[in-house]
Amino acid sequence: MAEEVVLELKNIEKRLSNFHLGPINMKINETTVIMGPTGSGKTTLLEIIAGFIRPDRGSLYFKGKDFTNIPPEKRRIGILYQDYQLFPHMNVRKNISYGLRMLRYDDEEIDEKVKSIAEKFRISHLLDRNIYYLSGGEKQRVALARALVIEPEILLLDEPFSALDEQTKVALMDEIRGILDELNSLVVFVMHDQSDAYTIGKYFAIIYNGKLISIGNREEVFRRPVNLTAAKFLGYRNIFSRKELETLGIEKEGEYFTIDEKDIIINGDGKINFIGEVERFEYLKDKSRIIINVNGVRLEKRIDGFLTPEKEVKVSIDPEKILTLKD
Amino acid sequence: MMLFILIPIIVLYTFVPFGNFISIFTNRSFLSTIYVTFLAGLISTVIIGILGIPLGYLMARTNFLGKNFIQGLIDLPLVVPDTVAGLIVFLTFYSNGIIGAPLSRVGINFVNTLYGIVVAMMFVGAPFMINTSKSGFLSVDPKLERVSLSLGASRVSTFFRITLPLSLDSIVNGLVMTWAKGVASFGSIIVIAYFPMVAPTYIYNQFLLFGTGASAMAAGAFLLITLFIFALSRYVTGRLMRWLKR
Repeated sequence: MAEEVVLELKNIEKRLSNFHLGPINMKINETTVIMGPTGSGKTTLLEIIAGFIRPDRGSLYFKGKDFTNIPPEKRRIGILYQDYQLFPHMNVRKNISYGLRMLRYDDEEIDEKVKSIAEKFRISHLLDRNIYYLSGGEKQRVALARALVIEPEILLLDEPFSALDEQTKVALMDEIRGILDELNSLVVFVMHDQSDAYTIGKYFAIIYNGKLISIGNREEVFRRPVNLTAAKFLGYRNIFSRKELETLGIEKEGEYFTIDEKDIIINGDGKINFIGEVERFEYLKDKSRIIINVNGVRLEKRIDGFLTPEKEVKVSIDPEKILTLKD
Repeated sequence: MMLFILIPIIVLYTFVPFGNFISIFTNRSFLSTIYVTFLAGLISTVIIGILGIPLGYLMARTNFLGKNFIQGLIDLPLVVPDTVAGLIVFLTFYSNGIIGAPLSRVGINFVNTLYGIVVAMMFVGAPFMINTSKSGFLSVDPKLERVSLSLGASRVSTFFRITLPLSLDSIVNGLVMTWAKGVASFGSIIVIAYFPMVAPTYIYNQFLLFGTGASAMAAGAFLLITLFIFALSRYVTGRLMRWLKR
């Protein structure tokens, strides 16, 4: 990723019937994943960046140049939708070459570029195939090849893996990550699956109810949620009120707190140790989940492998690892 | 359901005096009505196509104040009785009508002319064109158009390369239905243009003057010709679609 490539969103706002997005302020200069629950406005934001939706307020800058009023066809921003949106009346070759034809490349160059990108995505054997006969993974490769063949400045990917089965997804994610790393384009993903986001992104943003509630690198967003909404969205299970924290004998400034379950030690030694009653215990696919009641406060932890449940366990936490949430 | 359509048609042919049936195809006045009917049908379909397809696109792709009212207006000719439609067209286009008056000053008259037949056919046929093309455009995922824009195609280019080919089935269907509605119209045409006679007026005239045998013969011949044109147009458009989707 070239360092000078910077996409900046300044006070972007959009009202769509009873939904209000923004104001959004973001500076993006590396592979970014915009996360958020369904209906939070992340796809709307992506479509504003692509130019399909005009913001009511605010501006977009690319490499310092305002492109808010530039039409989508002049932006050189590629987009890949969750359902690929391959042109159904064109075969694979025509789908991939469409953008090149629109940009008036000559036939020889088109053939060369299509051939080269098809080889890169290992779809050369599919070029003359009707798109109806492609598998999900093949469709995604074709859609990505079509978006990348025009060498976009920015590549937007809207839930690119959610329509794939787990096996195809894992294989494709690895491959696509390799290809994207070689690109000169700025890549922005929209995803609701946090584990996929965690794997593929370098910079992260969480949008909730049209508002940007968290932005930063992996550590900042995932390990140090800034507020209650972000913590809940990220699946933090151990969220306490001040009263609950005081029950554990810990005093801190703030109203809500959380601790990463990785920082809860079971049957080990920590700064503060409690004896807790095992309230619930269950086996997950390759983990165990334990819920421990300490003086009325419930602590939850998933443990790699399988535990033999006991009635009582020793629980240790480090008060310094407890994060204060803003909300 | 097929029987419900087929039985009355068979009944019609039982009234056709088959000994003379071939002669209808050489009857000059009958052939002239067929020519007028199909020519007016073709002209009205082309005009409605040019005006109605963009309106269908607008109705499918945009939201604006009063859209429901506009949709109601588009549908109105479907619920208005044919004779009332004829009266509306007559009052608008006769030599003192709001559109007819200025046009008559430049020599375009609608009463008892081909122009009158064309506008009457347009009035009753327009909803078919607009609504079917609208359905066609609605069936094209707007994300396909967005992808096209992102790949550097202009909005016009996107329309002609993506939206139009993908909604062509519906548009062709709309054109065929519009033409069919036009050539089958009677009540709406007879008010403004008894002459030049269109096929439905000719059949009615035959019935009044010569009874069921003559009118059934003309109707039977008209049905055969229409069926042939319908089948031919479906075949040609089918081939065209396959060629476009190659």
